[in-house]
Amino acid sequence: VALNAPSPEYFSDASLHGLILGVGEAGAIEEVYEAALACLEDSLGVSRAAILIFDHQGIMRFKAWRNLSRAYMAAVEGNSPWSRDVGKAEPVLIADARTEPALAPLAAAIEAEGLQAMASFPLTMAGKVLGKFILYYDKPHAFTDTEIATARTIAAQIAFVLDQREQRAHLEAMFSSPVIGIAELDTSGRFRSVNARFCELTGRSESELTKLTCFDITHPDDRHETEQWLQSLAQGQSHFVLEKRYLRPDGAVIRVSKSVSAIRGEDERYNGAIAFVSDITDQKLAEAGLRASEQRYRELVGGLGLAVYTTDAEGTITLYNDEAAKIWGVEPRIGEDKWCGSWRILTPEGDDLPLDQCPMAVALREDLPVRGVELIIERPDGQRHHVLPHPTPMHDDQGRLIGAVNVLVDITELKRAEAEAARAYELKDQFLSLVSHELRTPLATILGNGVLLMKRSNLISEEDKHRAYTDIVAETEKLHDSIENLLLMTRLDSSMLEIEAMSLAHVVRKAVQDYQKVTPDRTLRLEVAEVPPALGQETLITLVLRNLLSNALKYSPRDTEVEVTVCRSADGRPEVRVEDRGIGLEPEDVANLFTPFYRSQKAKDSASGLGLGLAVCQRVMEVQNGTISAGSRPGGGTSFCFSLPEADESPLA
Amino acid sequence: LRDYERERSKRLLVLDDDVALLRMASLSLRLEGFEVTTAANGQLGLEEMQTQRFDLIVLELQMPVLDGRGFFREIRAAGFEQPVLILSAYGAEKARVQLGAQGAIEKPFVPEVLVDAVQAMIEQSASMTTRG
Repeated sequence: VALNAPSPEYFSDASLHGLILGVGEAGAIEEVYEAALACLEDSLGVSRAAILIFDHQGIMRFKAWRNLSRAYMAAVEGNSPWSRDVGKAEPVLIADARTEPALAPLAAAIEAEGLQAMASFPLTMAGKVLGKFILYYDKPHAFTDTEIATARTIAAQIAFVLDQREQRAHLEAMFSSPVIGIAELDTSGRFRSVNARFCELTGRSESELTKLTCFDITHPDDRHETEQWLQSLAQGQSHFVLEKRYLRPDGAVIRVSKSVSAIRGEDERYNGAIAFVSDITDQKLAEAGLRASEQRYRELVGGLGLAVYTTDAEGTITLYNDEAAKIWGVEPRIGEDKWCGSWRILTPEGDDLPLDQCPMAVALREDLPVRGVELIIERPDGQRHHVLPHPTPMHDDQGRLIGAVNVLVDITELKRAEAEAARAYELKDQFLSLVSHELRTPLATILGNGVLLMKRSNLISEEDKHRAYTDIVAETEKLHDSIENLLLMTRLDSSMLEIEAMSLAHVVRKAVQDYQKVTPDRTLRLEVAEVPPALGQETLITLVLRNLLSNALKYSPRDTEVEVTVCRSADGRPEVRVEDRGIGLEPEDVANLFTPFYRSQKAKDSASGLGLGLAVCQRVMEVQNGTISAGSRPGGGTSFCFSLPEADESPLA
Repeated sequence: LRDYERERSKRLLVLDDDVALLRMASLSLRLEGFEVTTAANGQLGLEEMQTQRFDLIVLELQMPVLDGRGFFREIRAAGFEQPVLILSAYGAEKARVQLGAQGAIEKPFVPEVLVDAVQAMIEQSASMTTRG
């Protein structure tokens, strides 16, 4: 710390030098004043004098005096020709107090004290007025240049000493800081001086420390870094700041923040360093604790498996986890996006919900948790999630709203399951309705006709009787087919089959003839070519044929005929074709035709049915290693075709 | 006029997609003196209603083209207020309540059940008309 050095001229008088500066170094302030007053008397022959100093309120106060009454001092105290910050203060010389107008207000006190001349010299240092000394004379006095020069020199010396003492006091106050440890190091890092706080920090006494270097007390892991920094000071750097650890004799480690400045002497030569050290162990512990706590919080939020995010009091998103981003389908912009990271929010009814009306915004606005609201979140890719948001406001320890946390419970799967269950129930209902219709309608006809023929026979015409009997037979056949199809659909298994070589021509001819008997008003035409024996089972082939005939008759006009052909397929296998001149197939129906309970729109519009016959046919052909296919008949209508393996191709064991 | 109205044979429309059932139901009702018209689906039923007035309709729900429910809504919308008897193999009573029809019977049924239901509904309808 450089002090303002007074210019050499002030020390020209050797006697003055010794008198004031000698005392100024070490003695009490009163001794300095006394020495100054003595010096004034010796050099200027003045027996009455006073020294006044600005107090902390900016008022000049008498500090030391010779041959002045208390009454006088009380009367004039506080008067000053200069303010503290006047900049350049010049001495005020009053050769005859009685003729000086500026002293008029004090004239009485001055006269009573018997004073007739006086001179005030400012004590200034670095542009500041510290105080003044005043010389008093009993007679009017003409000041000589020598007197003025001597007085100025003494003023400069007093000011210098005062200023030096003040700066020293500041340094001492700083050095005795109970918070900052201060140590002065020599060029090798050895301690020159340390303050009490530094001793306390390092756990060593002053005398102990002055035998050590700063490396001795540094934690081994930090020594290298400390060395490098000190070297940089020697190489011209002016200061550095670092955080390091000290190792106390008791083994305790303390963390410090250290600011080190180089001390340079004349010609900028490196002369050591001064270090200011503060203990940051508690701060570091608190920081580490905070980090650990925050880490735990993040891990908790991240590992919940629930979508969670937080906002500040304004609703700006501050934290979110992967699950939340997954639901949103976008990563929100932290510090920008508000209330929700969603692309689009809808109500369960499918209406758009403005973002500022989402439950999170409501919770923040009303400072209340929101529960029981269901939302649909739509992601940018169009995927939708059903969620139950649980926004909850968060408060600080004074109860002020600081933000909110929102847990999004994804109930998409639940909703899907619900919808599936509802759909399954609906399908079951449709199925029951369909099966009931297909079974109970023929039953109603059979039962009704039976009862009428039994009880009202005498009232019924012959023609109506005949129709009733015919209907009983036909409906019984229909019922039989439906029941067979239903039963087969549930229990068909190839292991139950006994497959044998058979004549397809024979089986088909018999089946067509039988079917013709129950449908006397339709024409079934049969054409049979020579085909090799086929591998299959007669009852199953009959079932397939009856199903195909039933469909052909059902979906074609009454006055058209149905053709059944037994022939070889393109690859030579025994094949049966059933062709009608009916409503035909749409291309999109062909793919689904064999799906259980599937019915094309055309079929639905034409007649009732289970949609089970073709599914059964396909299953039946599969278990016999056969094939079945559907297509359009050239010239209109539908063509079904099924084939079986040739018996010779794979002889039975 | 009232006597004439009482004596005149009642005209019925029976809808079902099964022609055999239509024949049986028709025969049962004709034997009791009703005039019966049949239709195989709702669309054909609506066409019949363009040309005739019916005192009661017997209606199956499952039919192609226009089903029983669709047909029922159409005739109610068109102002037909005579009784309707729902005929179904599954959930007839439930459908009756849903649609607001006057009667329901489940398949299968014996002819007396159909005839009794139709007669009861016509009598009730007539008494309400008389009172009104």
